[in-house]
Amino acid sequence: MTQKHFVIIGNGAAGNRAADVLREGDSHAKITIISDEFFHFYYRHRLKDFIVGNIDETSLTVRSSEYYHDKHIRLRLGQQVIKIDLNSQLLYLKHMELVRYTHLLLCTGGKPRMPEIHYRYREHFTSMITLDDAKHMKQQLPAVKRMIVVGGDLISVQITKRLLNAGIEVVFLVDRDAFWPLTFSDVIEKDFNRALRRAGAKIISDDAIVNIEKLGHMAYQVRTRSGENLECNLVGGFFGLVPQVDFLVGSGLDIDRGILVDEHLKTHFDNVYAAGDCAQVYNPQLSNYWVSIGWGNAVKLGEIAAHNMLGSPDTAIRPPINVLDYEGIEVKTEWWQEVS
Amino acid sequence: MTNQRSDDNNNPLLNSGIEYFSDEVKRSGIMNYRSTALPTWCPGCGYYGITHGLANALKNLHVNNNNLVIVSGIGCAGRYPFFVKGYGLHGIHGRALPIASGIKMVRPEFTVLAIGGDGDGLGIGGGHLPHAIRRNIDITYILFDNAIYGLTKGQASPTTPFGQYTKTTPYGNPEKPLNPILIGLAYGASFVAQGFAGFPQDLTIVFQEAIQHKGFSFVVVTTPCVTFDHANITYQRFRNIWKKIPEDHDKQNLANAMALAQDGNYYNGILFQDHRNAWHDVQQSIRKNTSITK
Amino acid sequence: MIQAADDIVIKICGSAGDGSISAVEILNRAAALMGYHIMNFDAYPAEIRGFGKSVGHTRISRSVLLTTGKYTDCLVALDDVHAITELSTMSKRGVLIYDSKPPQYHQEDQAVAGFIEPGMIGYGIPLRELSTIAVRSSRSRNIVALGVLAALLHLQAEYFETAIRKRFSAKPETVIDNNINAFRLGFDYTLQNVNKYDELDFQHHVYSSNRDSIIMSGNEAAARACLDADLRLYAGYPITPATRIMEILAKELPLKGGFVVQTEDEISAAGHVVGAGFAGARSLTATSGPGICLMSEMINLAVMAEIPSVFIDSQRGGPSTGLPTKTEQSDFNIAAFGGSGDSPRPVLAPTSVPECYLLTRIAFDLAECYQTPVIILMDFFLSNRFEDIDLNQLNSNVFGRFTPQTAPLKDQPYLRFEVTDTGISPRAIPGMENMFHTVTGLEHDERGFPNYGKANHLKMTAKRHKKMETLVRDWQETGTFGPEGQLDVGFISWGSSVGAVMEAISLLNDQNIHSGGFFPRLLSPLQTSHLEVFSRRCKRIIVVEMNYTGQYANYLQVAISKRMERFTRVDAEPISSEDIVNWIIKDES
Ligand SMILES: Cc1cc2nc3c(=O)[nH]c(=O)nc-3n(C[C@H](O)[C@H](O)[C@H](O)COP(=O)(O)OP(=O)(O)OC[C@H]3O[C@@H](n4cnc5c(N)ncnc54)[C@H](O)[C@@H]3O)c2cc1C
Ligand SMILES: Cc1ncc(C[n+]2csc(CCOP(=O)(O)OP(=O)(O)O)c2C)c(N)n1
Ligand code: SF4
Repeated sequence: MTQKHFVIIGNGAAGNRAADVLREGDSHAKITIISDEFFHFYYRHRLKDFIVGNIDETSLTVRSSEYYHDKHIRLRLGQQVIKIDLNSQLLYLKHMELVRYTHLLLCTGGKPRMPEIHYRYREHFTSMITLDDAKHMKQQLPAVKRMIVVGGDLISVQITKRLLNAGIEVVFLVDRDAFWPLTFSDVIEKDFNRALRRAGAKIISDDAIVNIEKLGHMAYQVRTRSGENLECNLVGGFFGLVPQVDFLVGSGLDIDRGILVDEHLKTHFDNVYAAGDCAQVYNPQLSNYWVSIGWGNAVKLGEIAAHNMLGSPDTAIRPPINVLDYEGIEVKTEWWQEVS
Repeated sequence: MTNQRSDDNNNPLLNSGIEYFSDEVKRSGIMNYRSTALPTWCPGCGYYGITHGLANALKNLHVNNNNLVIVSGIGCAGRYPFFVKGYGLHGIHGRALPIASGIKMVRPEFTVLAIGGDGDGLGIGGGHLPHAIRRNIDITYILFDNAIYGLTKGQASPTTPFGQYTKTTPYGNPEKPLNPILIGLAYGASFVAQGFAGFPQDLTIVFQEAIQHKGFSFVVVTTPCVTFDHANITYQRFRNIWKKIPEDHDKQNLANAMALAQDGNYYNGILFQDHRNAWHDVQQSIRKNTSITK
Repeated sequence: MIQAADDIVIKICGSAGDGSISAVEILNRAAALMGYHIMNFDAYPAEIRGFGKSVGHTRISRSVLLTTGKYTDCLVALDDVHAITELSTMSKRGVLIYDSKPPQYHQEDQAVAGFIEPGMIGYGIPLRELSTIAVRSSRSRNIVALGVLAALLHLQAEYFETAIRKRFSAKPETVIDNNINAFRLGFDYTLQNVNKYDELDFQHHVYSSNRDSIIMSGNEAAARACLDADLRLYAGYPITPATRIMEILAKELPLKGGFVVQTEDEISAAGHVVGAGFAGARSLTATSGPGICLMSEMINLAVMAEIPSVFIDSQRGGPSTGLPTKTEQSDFNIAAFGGSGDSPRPVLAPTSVPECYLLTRIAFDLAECYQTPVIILMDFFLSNRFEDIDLNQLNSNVFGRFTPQTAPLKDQPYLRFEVTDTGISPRAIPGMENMFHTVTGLEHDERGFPNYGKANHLKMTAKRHKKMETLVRDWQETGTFGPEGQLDVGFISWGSSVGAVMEAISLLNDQNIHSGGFFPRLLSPLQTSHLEVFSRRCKRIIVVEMNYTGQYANYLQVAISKRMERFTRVDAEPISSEDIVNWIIKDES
């Protein structure tokens, strides 16, 4: 029998939890985590404080390399999987190496959502999902006097507040379609506007972007439907996250918004599982799939997937809806939790 | 000058031997090529005859003493430089040729003679001979072949005949002797000659030719060690066995020379000589051809 | 360890034939043109033939360099499988440049990028593809990689182009153009496609483009010194790591009217050198351990007969044939004491490439002044490492001035070995009018005649040692390094290890461990008074050298009463400053 090789794509909350559980359950198997990010497992939600200098890079890190050494988990950072051959059980890495797995867990997380109406000028948006994005933004901030934030997701609120605190003028262009993972409602909008205005942001709520033009280095002009031309140094685009499944298209996996898995987080390939933000999980009660976005959920799903991969059945249940006060906004969600 | 030490008195080299020579010898002019030191060899040693022959050759050629350098190895023969008026380097056992070559390379105007015994030149130092020959460096190598280790008092040497009794071959020498002449020819020396210590006049002629030869000259002088060899090379045995080189011998014909070297006879004179370029000439022409100036 | 963003250790690794070494050569040249200091020590493949690994290893810095650096800050992989074995030397935040488009997929664990440790940063660049665009083959991917390096590390491209032009100056114009094109493709590709994550940064600085420095190895520096010192005869027998000296001189010395002879063995080589020295001409041979063994009898002759002659021993791992391509400092004993009898002779040990030049030049002066063989102890590391050196800035006067004494022409008898206060007898050489003499390896009197009298032997032995005392008096260099006053730790080291010790000293002083050094360049005879003064200043004395027993420490220990500690290594690699610092810190805490 060949040695078991658990390969996890994604070095986030889901992937790391799964690796822990797999190692606890099987001390001999090879375990590999592959991530296209260069950095150690870090707290994504702390990025907002990192960009304005509230915390430094070390306090972002969840685990350092010693941990992986001790647990005999091979951590491949900065390596991207570009193709999967599910029949031969091979992963094609971008640097042109083939990696063979016996069991595969997809924890590829989310990527920024880009609404179709903004597609034309998408390269002018700055977003912030990864530490890379955050570092880039942090570098630019000292030269930013004015920033236009477009969107309506929770990240945009967090960031706006931090930017205002840092003395940057923020114009917030509320995009009804961008409310994510929240659904837009009058109550939410009121909450939203109040929270942001209190913090000092200028809010434009019943207008919409028609074009963004780059005038020069860190100089943009945003034209709105009402004919306003707003100039700024950065345009932030925050439209929420969608599952990162681009590289799986055509692999033979069923993909809808995310990777379709059963309640045991298994795809229709026996040895391939998915967990975390990238998974779209079947719920037998609902007879439907649900997508989970959020740190706590990712951890939980990672654990469940690992149990199943080890052969002890475990079922994912849809988390209860909780209500949390988020930056002064009352948020009802089954997804996000307060994490520090 | 510093004080003469008491133990100097025991040193024969320090007691100038000049006055022991007859007026005739002094008048002959060869004393211009003899130092004030008296040789330390045993009375009757063949080396005296060689010394005489060489001093005459140097005199006849009017060699400039200031440019005369004698390099020797170790052995009775190795003492030779001390007895010559000129510059001398009494080096280490077997290494006269490399040292002499080094001197000649940097001072081509010098007359450089290398001298050593058969143990020195064919035993411990045997590895240097083919290479000095190969380079054809313009020095004269005189091998004092007494077929015995003299200085160390009578052990077998590379030219000791098979079966001969010596201190280290008490049951007879189990090894075959080398033939130095044949070796010199086989290695390709541009000048190969031999002679006998008992014929100093003949040696003078050979030495003159050897010194004048442009390139590496190899002269093997058979010489009796009167102290440690009473059976092999003795004056009585050897005086009569030497032959003149046949009239029709072509000195430039290597095959003929090799035939003579192997026919069991001792031939007095030059067996082989050719006039290829010596080391410095080759260096010069390489420089010219590759337009390296100076 | 990244000392600073502009002090970077770079390795270019590939199969033999991938051009790693020539790429590093160009990199060095470009860096030197920009006024940086470089130190370069390539790793030789263990096997001569086949497609062994070949690693160009260089360190580029704004400040003067003392070591080649233990950890690699930037590794360029021209061959994945070989490069994987180099990763263990990477610094924690090291940078890897690899080929993102190899001809086919690597099997698992055959791609260097798959081994990038967390913290390291890998940049995948289509090296082969870009090379193919430039020269229609993957041959120039080493040059493409230089373009990547220049763009990534923020080095000025035009200096690379000059260096490339120079490197390929013997080639047709199209080759030069193609390679410059390859360089530019790598450079532009990187600027356009690569987000820089690392901290390595030369900030486009050019310190001085007209510094007169050239890049030389220790062997080249020694050879150059020979040429400048008017060497007349080089005689030698090939042996790693000294052969390069002979090869250079074979080409250059005839241009200056000198001669090079390849002898049948080292005995003969030494014989030629001693012969030429006796004849009054400067002569030298260079060898390694096995050769110095064969030469020791000739060196002894030169001691006894007082013949100026210079011997370079580029040490390698021993004993016997040992480790021909690994460095070690284990020939001190044979250099200082090899041979029979009491045979004192100066032993010099350069600590850097510039000193290989200086001490080789000085060696000829010493040899003539004190009428003695002089041994220069280099080693594989010094022989083969490259440094930028500015010959105009070098000054040998720091070591002292050594002028030979020639005998006045006077009436007979000339006393070649006249006993004087200094031990030095005015020298005559063959060719001089009427100064006849014979020198000998036998014990001799002042005239040079053999003499075995006991009083004479005592007198002449003393005379030969007297010369060494005179040399110690004349030698100006004190060898002390670092702060004055009391020291917590005083280091003594010699030769190629000194750089690492100097680096360690400054690191320790940064951590408030007061330390300094005594680094004699004249290893023997011993400068006892300098050693005593130094040892009185030290709480601890540690002797650092690359041999097992502490050969130099043993030699020094008899001269002072304070006990010396030994930091000795024979791990076939140069000692690193990190090793020394860690050792001390472990002890001190
Ligand atoms: C700014 C910000 C603030 C947030 N705040 C909160 C919060 O307060 N509360 C909360 O509950 N959640 C929050 N979230 C969401 C939360 O961080 C995510 O839900 C969680 O990190 C998801 O974990 P994951 O393991 O599924 O995926 P991720 O953490 O996204 O990790 C996936 C990893 O896989 C890698 N990857 C993807 N594709 C490939 C491939 N093909 N090859 C190799 N690697 C690949 C990605 O680069 C990534 O590193 C926030 C997110 C952001 C961006
Ligand atoms: C390396 C070394 N080994 C041994 C000796 C001792 N030794 C001195 S002379 C000699 C032999 C001399 O014989 P040869 O060369 O034939 O000269 P001869 O004395 O017969 O003239 C020997 C063995 C030495 N001096 N050096
Ligand atoms: S021992 Fe023999 S060779 Fe030496 S001097 Fe006496 S006779 Fe001559």
